[in-house]
Formats: sequence, C-alpha cells, structure tokens
Amino acid sequence: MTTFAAQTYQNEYLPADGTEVNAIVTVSCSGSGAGTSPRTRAEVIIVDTSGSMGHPIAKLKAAIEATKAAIDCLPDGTLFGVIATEGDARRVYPTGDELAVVSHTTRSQAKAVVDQLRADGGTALGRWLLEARRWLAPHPDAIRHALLLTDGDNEGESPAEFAAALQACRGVFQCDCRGIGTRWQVSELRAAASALLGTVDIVARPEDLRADFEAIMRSAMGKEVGDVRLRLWAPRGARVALVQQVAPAIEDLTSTGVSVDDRTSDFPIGAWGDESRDYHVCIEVPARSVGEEMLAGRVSLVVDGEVQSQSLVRAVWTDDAALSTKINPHVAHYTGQAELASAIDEGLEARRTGDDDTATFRLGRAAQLAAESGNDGTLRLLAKVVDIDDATTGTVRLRRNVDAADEMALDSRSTKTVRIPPAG
Amino acid sequence: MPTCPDGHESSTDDWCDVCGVPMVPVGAAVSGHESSDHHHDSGTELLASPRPSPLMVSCSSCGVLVPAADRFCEHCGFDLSAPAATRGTWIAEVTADQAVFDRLRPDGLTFPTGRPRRVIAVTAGEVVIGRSREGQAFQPDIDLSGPLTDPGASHRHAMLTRTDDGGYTVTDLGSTNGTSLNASLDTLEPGRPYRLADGDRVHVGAWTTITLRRLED
Repeated sequence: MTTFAAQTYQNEYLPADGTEVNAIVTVSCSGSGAGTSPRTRAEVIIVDTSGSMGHPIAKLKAAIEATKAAIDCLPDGTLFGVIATEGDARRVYPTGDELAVVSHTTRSQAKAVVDQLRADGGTALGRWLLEARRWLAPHPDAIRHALLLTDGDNEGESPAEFAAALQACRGVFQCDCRGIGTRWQVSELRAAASALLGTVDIVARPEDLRADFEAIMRSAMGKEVGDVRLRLWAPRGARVALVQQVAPAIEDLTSTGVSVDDRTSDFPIGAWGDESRDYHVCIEVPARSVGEEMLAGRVSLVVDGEVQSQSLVRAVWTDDAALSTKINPHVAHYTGQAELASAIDEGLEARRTGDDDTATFRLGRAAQLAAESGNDGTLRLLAKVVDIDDATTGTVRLRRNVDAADEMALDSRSTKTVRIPPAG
Repeated sequence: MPTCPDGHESSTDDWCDVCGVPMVPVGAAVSGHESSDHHHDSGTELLASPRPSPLMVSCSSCGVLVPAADRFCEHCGFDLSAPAATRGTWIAEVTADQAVFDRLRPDGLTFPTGRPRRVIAVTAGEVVIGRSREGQAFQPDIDLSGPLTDPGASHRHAMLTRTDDGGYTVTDLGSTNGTSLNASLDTLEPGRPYRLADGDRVHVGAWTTITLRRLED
C-alpha cells in the first residue's frame, strides 16, 4: 500500500502589512514495492538514428548496446516498444499499433531488430515524441514512460511544431532525455524534460551510455504509482504565486495547475516510487490585522483519485519584528538553490554572447552559492568552466578553453539541488 | 456544515474552507461573531464554555476572552486600552488587492505592490468613496488618490449609507468601471443600495478592496 506524507516548513509570522507566505513542503512516498497490485508499466525507447549518429560510428554502436541493455531491464509483462529515427520516427519493434509485452521471446526479437539499426536522416524531436504518444495514449491506466536519446539539434522541425508536440504529449507520458556528444541543444531537451516531467543530461562519452540507460530504466521500473498530483487549496482572495519542485531538481510547476474549484488546483507531479521530493510554495494572502491568524494553504496529494495526507501553510500577523523577520532555514536554502540555478543559466548565456563581465559576475555568484549550500556536485562542474579563486567571495575567472561537454554538463545539471545541510 | 466567524459555510472545521480564518477563534469557547453576548453567561447553553474569570475580559471589537492585563486583543489586534467603540462603529480597511487586479486585468496598469493597508473609521450617515482631483471642491470621505490612488476609481464612485439599525449599505453612484462585492464578477446596479454584512468586501477601480468590519460593543 503506497502512502504519501507531506510536511511543511515555514515561518508563519508576517508583519502588519505582510501578504507573502512561503513554505517548503517535503512530500515522501513509501511502502511501494510491497506491491499488492502492481500497475502495468509501458515503456517506449526512442533512439536517434539520424545520419550524424554514424559519425563517429561509435555513437550508433553505443546507442544500440544501450538500448539492448535497457530492454533487458524491463520486467516481464511490461508493455514496450522501440522507435528508431531515420528522419521520421519508425516503429522498429513491434511494427504494429499495439505495444509488445515483455517476455523472454519478445526481448530477444526486439534486441535482434535493434542490432540492425543504421544511421540515416535528420532530427525532429517533436515528431518522434508524437510517435511514442500514439503507442502510449491507449493505456491511460499504465505508468507510461519514454526514454529519448538524440545527438543533434532539432533542425528537422520548427520551434512551433516542437512546442505543439510537447503540449500534446504533456500528461500522456513522462520522458527522460539524454544527449550524446555535444552537437545537441541543452535548451531543446530541457524543454522536453520539463514539459514531460523528466530529467535531462549529457552523456559525453559513448561508452557511458549503457550504464546511463540502465539507471533510467531502473528508476522508471521502480515507480509504483502513476499520475500523482499535488493539490493546493488557498483561501478566497489569495493568489498562488509559485509552485516549484526544488529537490531533487528545480522545476517550475506554477503554470501547470489544473483548477479543481475556484480555490483549489492540482499540479501533476508524475509517477512515484519510494522517494521524497521538496516543493516551494508561495501564496499571497490579503493582509489581516496584527494578532489574526489564517490558513494560507492546504497541501495534499491526490493518488489514483484518492486524497492522501494533508499539510497546512499558515499565516499569523504580528508586530514583533523578531518573529516576522526570521526566514525559515528550509525556505532560505531552496531560495539559494533556485538563485544558484539562475546564476548558472545567466552566466552561461552571457558567456555565449561574449559578455565576459556578466559571465564572470554570475558564475562567481553561482560558485559562492554552491559552496555555501554544500552543493559540491555543482561546484565541481563550475570548476570546469571557471577557475575558482575563492568560492566564499565568489571570485572566479573565465577559463579560456572550455570543453563543450563540460559546459553542457554544467548547463544540463544546473537545476540539480542538494537537500538542506544538517544544522551546526 | 459549520459556519465560520466571517459567515461562510465551511466544509472543513479547522480553518474556513472559503476564507481561511480559524473556525473557532483562538481563546474563545463559543463560535464566532454570531452570538454577541460574550459578556453574558453563555455557560448554560453550551457545555464546554468556561465562565469568564475575574482576570479575563471580553474584547470590545471581536468578543474573544483575553487576559485583562493585555494591551492588545490576541485574536484581532484591537487596542483594548482604547475607549469602548461607539455602538455600531464600522471601520473600512482599504487595500490594493492583487486578486481584484488579476480578475480585471486592466490594460496599461501596473499593480502597486507593497502598498500598506489603511484603516478608516466609518461613522457618518453618508460616506462617499471616490478619487479626488486637483481643483475640484468636492472631497470624497474615502479618497482613492495620493497614497491610496486607484486610476480606475471615479470621482464619485460609490457611497456607504447608514441604516436605522446602525448598519451600512453600499450604492454605486454611476461609476465608470463599476463596483462589485465579495469577489463577484457582477457589478452592482447603479443607484441601488446593497446591504453590507460584517466582513464584506467592496471592490472599486482597478485594484481597490474596501473591507467593512463592524465593531461590536
């Protein structure tokens, strides 16, 4: 029996005219895998077999090996399919309208077909995702997931076509995106990952692809419930200013809320296994008098249509500045992590356009925030793009020769956060 | 369904499902403002209500029992050392309301964030709400100019009129952009008085919300 719990961290005290309430909500899911009724899972692997995948041929070979390894990770009974892309998407296994069911036989057959893949054609990510959508749409009760691998930028379709395809796929399946080599665009795969509640990352060396695919499959197969929603109630007159996932990575969910009634919205947060994630919620409430108290928000989880757990976000007005000026450590930590992600984003953008002063300033700030929050992973990635003289003061120098893969790794992983460091 | 202190029917019994106020005011044993005889013995009707001890007084604004030594009511913040309010005194709390602005989406205007709330006593027989203009003789009683400025408010926008029983009604005076109540999208019919309840919110202009609260004695 899968159970969800939600816990709120906040400073509920507002000054006399205060209206902004911030809270971090930790959502945890446990008990899954004790599985009373395992849900059907449906998996589509989309492998880029465009012409560029053949140069060098190591990329195509790695993609073939990684795809076969991914197929081996699928438990019997999973619905699955493989799409290869010679320009347009092509169903390579199975070839019909219905996904295949994983078994010893179908795994062997699929792997044999994958072995024969050749590289040809261009890149059209949206059209490829739509092909996966056709296969997955008829299974609304399954936990639906896709894995997308590309090596190039989306030159085969317009940005509008791509955006429309993402919009059509939203809510149908989740998708983890990987870019192999350095000729693809982080912003394009990030757009797909954000829309489809997945992760984005670079796999710079072809030999690392297999392990990465296996990790993605293990994570996808570990999900026990699909289509979980974060339900947020706010009182009349209040405005939900922000709903953002802040751990394990930053994802802005604010515009994805689906209205349940005029005070409640549901935010899709995808499939869950045994895990926990943190969310930052900001609600603007009408100011009340000193001494008054009100409920600014109610957070609960909707799982298979059933409402579970509940956590309260409160507002209490006070004229005691010692109370109202304190910032809750969880809120402060994640506000810092969000600033870290924007500092990297802006710093890298400035570097691309040749604005070295801004790049140095923003990436320096990023180093400072990463060091303060113990985000060693991000600090190491930053150190490949800037020389860090002093992280505590944010003093850095742009490196002259930066490996494209290192720059893209920093870009892809800029939104990964760390949990709040233990006190003391 | 239980009723909250602001008069809403709530499907929840901890905080009001509509407006978020606590369903049972902090420190009080009876529910909300419905019963106004806190300083009478209410112990005979409700099982769990304690008698006021000699060290507790009833706040003259909201009725909650508070320690007599307190300066401010812990529930509503009212200044307990102030002279008891005149029976039937109302206060108007004027705020720039983001929710109103978002609903109306007026073109070319930027919402004035960070504007503090102002509280104005309402005691006269007729109280005009409007936006004064330089060079004009007439000054509205609740003036939406200067620090409270709202470009969507008319010169003589609406009027609060005292009724025989100490209550108030609101009447739209033929304003350009209309007046509405309690987050409704419908505007009031010009010239027609609408009775106000304690806690009602009158919306005028691009973002102004005037919340009327009645002070009990």
